[in-house]
Amino acid sequence: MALLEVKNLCTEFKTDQGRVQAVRGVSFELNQGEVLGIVGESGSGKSQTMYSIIGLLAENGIVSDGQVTFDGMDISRSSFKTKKEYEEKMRTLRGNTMAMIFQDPMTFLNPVLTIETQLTEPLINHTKMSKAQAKERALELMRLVGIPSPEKRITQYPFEFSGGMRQRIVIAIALACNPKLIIADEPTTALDVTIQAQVLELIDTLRKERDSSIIMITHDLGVVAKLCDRIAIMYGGKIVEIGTDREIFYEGKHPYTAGLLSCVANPEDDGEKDLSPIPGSPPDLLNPPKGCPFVDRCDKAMRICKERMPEVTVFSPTHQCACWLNHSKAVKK
Amino acid sequence: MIKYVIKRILIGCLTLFILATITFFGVHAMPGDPFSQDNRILTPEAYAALEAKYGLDKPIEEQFVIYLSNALKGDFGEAISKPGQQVSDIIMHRFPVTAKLGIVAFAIAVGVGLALGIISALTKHRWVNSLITALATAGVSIPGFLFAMFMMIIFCVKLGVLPVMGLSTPKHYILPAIALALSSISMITRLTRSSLKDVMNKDYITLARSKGTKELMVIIKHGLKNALLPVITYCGPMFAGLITGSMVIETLFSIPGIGAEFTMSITNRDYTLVMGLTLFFGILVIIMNLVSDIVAAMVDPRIKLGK
Repeated sequence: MALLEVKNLCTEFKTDQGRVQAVRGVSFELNQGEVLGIVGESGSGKSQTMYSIIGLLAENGIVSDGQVTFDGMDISRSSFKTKKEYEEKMRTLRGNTMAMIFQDPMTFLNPVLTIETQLTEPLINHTKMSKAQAKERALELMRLVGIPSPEKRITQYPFEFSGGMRQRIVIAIALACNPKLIIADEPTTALDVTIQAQVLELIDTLRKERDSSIIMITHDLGVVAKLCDRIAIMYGGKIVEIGTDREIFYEGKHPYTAGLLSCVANPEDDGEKDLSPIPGSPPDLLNPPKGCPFVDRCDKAMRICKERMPEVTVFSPTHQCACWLNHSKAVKK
Repeated sequence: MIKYVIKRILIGCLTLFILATITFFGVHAMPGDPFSQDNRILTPEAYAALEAKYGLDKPIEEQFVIYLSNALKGDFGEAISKPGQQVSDIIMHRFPVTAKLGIVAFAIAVGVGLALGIISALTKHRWVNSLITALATAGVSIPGFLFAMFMMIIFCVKLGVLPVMGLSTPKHYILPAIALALSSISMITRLTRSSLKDVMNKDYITLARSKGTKELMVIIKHGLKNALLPVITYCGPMFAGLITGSMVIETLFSIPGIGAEFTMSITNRDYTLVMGLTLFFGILVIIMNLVSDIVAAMVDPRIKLGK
């Protein structure tokens, strides 16, 4: 059975202009020990999907529909009578069996609390450890994520750490209670390239050693290729294509997937081939289009794309794509 | 730390010197002199004798040097409008009364201000927030004396539950302290509210929630500690302001404090008393600023004193 099952998840944000439909019916599964990459440009809803699952949406965000099953438990917002009950349940899971690694290590650590306080907090919240035991465990975690002389560093404050070191702390916090599911929200975006490689290496090692399931949100296809077993491509609040890494990189069906791949520089090209950015900008999710969200930017768009939401075509047990081009009645070129 | 404090004290001395210079030449530049408001007409001989007694016949630069050298020795001179009374004695005698009231007002301002600020930052009910914002705005804009008089009418005259004058029992402190604290309560409320609202939207609050920390702990441990920094910085000068009193409140409640004394000394053109009180208030403000900077550095490790 899958560790995490998401069915038709919808999330909206109430704003002064109206309701922004950030996530519009996302479904996927994640198995034990699997790494799923979620790729998409900014505003495609990938982060908000994750915030909806873990229950950390901003004040004005609401999960309007859908079902989330984690570790055999139904943790959909709709399965709880009150917000308080939902919050209470999620609180016992967050930092415990599901944890999150955040994007920007510069802003996600509390500037006025020591590393010790911040690192032992999930342990104090979820285990019966004493303060001394929690500190021991915190030191162990710091060694695990590769922070030199942890005994000295643990009493320091975030501003005394470099960006890469802070991100290691953020990762250590997520790992504290040995979570079954780790959601990594662009964990390397804010880091230097050299540090990025180190942090990815670290996540890869941890995953191999602990058999945790990881959802890796990123817009960096390089990260995805290195780490992920399966890849979901998100656009306009929807998953437009999902498949194994081979299926996406070599047999990608969606024009957006193809567009993303052609935006990546390949050092073997000797600069002969130009990068081809996808023209246009993502759809306005305040008034989302009735048809395919990608239609305005798609060079293969047909009349039906504008009028009806594409149906999902299944290519293999793992590979699905929502695009009219793949429909059985579409004209094949 | 000690090096930093010494440096700040030296800078404080320079500030005091500048303050003394400006005030000294300022009060002397005021039209009239300490003797001109006496109803009796002085003969030119008596006038000259008085001027000579207080050294006012000398050139003003010389007077300034004499004043400073005496002040350095701790002699702030005799109050011109109160023959026989030393300025330092007046301060020693009047200041404790004002300071006690000021401390009570400070406690009220911080307690009530923080509570209202935190409530209005965190409440989910829009009307609570609007109500507190309206109260805070009113608190800044309503003059203290008007508010004090309304309270006197309600609590002393109509209900008869609180005394009107003096500071003889703890009950006497209630009305003047609230009236004195009014604008400070509003300022702290507004400051706490905006600061805490801002902090609760920070990324590190999301991370704290992602650890499964209880919301109350997220607010206290992660939110308040960060949100209080601007409040602490504001509290130092505010404390100095409160313990130096207010002429209006002291007059209204017949409190023999230093605030009323200060205002009177100016109308009397009592040069020595104005100088003495100005320097005394200056010292208080300098010390309080230093204290609030030190407290802020204790709360926020990023603030490095002396750098």
